[in-house]
Amino acid sequence: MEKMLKLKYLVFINFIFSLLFIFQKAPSAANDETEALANSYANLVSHYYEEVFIKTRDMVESINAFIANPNQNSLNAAKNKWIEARTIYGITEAFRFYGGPKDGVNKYGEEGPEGMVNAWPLNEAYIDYVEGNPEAGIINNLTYKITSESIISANMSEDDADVSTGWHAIEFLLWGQDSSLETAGIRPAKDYEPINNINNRRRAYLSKVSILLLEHITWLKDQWSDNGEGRKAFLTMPDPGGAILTGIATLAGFELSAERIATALDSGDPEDEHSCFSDQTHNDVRANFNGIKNVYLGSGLNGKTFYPSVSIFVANKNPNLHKTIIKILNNTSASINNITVPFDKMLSEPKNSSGRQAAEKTVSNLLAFAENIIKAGKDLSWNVIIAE
Amino acid sequence: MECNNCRIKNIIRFVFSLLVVLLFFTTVEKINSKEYLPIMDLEISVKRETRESFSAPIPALELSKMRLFTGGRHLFRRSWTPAPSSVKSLDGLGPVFNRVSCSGCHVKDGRGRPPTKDNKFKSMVIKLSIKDKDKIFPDPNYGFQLNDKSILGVPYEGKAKITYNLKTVYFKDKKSVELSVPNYSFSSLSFGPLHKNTKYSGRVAPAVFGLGLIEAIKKEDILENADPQDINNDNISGRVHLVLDVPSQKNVVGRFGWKATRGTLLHHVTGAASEDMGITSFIFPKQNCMPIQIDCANQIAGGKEEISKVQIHRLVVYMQTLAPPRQRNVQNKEVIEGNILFNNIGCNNCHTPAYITGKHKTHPELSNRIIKPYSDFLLHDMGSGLDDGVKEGNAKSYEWKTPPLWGIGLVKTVNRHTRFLHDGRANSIEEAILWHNGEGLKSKEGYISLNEIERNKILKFLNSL
Repeated sequence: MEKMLKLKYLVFINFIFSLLFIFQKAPSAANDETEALANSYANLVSHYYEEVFIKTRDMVESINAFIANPNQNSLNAAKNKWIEARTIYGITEAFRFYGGPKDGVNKYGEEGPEGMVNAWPLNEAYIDYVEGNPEAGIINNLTYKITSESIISANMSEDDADVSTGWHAIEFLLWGQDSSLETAGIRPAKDYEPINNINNRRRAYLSKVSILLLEHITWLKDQWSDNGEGRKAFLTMPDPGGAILTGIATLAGFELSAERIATALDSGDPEDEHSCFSDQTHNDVRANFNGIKNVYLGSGLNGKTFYPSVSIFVANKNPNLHKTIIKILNNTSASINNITVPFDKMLSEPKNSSGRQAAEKTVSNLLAFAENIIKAGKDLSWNVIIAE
Repeated sequence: MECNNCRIKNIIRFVFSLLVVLLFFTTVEKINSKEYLPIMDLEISVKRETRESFSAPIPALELSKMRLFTGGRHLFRRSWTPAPSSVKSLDGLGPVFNRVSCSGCHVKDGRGRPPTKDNKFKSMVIKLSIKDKDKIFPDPNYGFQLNDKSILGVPYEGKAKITYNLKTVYFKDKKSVELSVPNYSFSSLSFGPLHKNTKYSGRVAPAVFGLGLIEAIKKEDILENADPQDINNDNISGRVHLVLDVPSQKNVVGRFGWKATRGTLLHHVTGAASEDMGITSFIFPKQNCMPIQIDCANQIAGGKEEISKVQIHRLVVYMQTLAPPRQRNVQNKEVIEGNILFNNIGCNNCHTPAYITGKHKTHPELSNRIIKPYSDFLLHDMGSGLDDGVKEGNAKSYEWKTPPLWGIGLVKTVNRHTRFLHDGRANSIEEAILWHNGEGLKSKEGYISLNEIERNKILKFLNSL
């Protein structure tokens, strides 16, 4: 009987909460101010995806030119285009973690392309030859037909690190394994000369996997365009402010700080840097940070602004908190500048090295940012959940 | 501008939830008490329907611990290499093993499966044992588990193959389903045939989310459901599997593994590292090579403890703090009706829906939470169909721990298959139900006697978990 009472009590509490939910949450969805915020955010997201699309298209063109005429110059050109595209792409990672088009499931039950675009860590031997195993990977497995479909179905099919698609697969195909702390990977352009079957397979793989990435980026761009399904779904979310803050708080407090920086610092393994073939991890960190900052402030490229931004809401509600957040953003920017390059060399250094300390500082600044964003969410009655 | 519309929607929503709540109040005393605990605590469960559904940390996890969580995840996914190797922190694979990474079997923190057409065992192992009276012994040449891979210069133990015979089961409405009965054969055995008394049993990798919450369930709550003598006469006994916890050298309540052979995650993680990957630790310091496997025993180890205490700690924290997914479509009429049917045919007698966790020793975030794992964590006689002769610890060959059902409807999304039971013989949730015998017989018969619409409601409910 006692148990029953306890149960009834719990059910009652649940009931009260559902009442609160109905009276508090739902009306805020129709609030004019948050509606304006949702619109300006959608415009900002669209603005960046348009730019990633252009840069990724440039990269694909450059990769095609390299495959058509493989030499060191055309390879370098393709690598530079990868870096340029990636610098913008990193910003768009702030548009994740709230079930949006990138990593959620839409009303048709389709899952976003996140796992196809940026899966990591990547076991390079799954794709191509590595030191000590010249016949490794899909490219050297002659029984495996290389098509867009087969590359997609191979992605993480048997192990999470068996990544066959996305930025890091292209990165490995352009740079190759990085076994030096001083330089990035040094894959020779002749890997792509059409002189044998394996090279032809490698050419096909690189071509198909980069087109796949462009397709996924195009899809994302279209999702957020004026009439895009993803935009429509976002605009009808009951708590868009919570979603926006969840995105940047999770990127800061989980994905960038813990998953990408702290984990590498803790293992100290040079292979654990995010862009380990190209040694561009410092750029990744900067780009992710720019995403966090730009979403908070509503900043676009070339001085473009998207208002109202979440920062305006925070500043109106709690000016001191806004000031604190700005201060943390500035500190984070400074600490990122002090992370020494290349990132893998920094990882191999002793704990008290200046580069490592700057990376640690970056981690703690990002955590502080996330904590303050959670506070801001509470002040504004927006629901912010890290890493959900 | 659209607010009028919103208000109407809100009112409808309010009325509906009022009805749901009233339903709770009216049914709560009739049905098994724990059934109508409210949904899982939001702080320890996640709402996801993607391939990442099993991979999120519990939302309540302290930000300062995220680093441990992601460090553990990283180790879970990284491949181990033979010693000596350039990455010292990750060498010591084998000499004999089944997979080179944790995530190789527990793909996306989810569930393994039997081989596809290529017949490669990628997320499944074969357990071996010889029973002599009430004691069990390893196969003299192959030990308790067949390791089908090895590092260079060491022979692997052997390869297994599964074929299936079909067996038809009829529903009361004359519709039928074909069940697959597995047959095992072995080849390329490096040290001669298996011992004539050796029995074998396939085991797929179970999903690894929610384990910290299971660790936090109060011992009394598990003991309370046990009825080894079937005093209440419901044909369901339910036995606690008391097991020796190797790290603490104490007898504890078994909670993890297909036969509840382990009671703590420290034991579970280090045991799996040793058995499945050949990685030694401070808990299991010996390489797992049987005496006849001389090349295996002579290999260089990757340090005295191939996986360090710090690494183990991260892995354990990762296992403890992966969040279970919340039930979906909770308010769907068919799901609610399916739930009621599930209870009516007695599934909830063993698949105990809910608990309030006790105090977790290391993570207060896991303490005092409402969870809905749908398991009593007890051993049950599941009948001869699921008896493959392998006894483990005190669990008899025909006894299996009630597996938790949370997340079962997301296996298809996360792992892209629907293979269930310990050896993945069931090709669907329905087939898994039809394999229930012994203490599960009554519920299975209940299921068989339902009509197709009702059966689908139960499946819809299970798929919402």
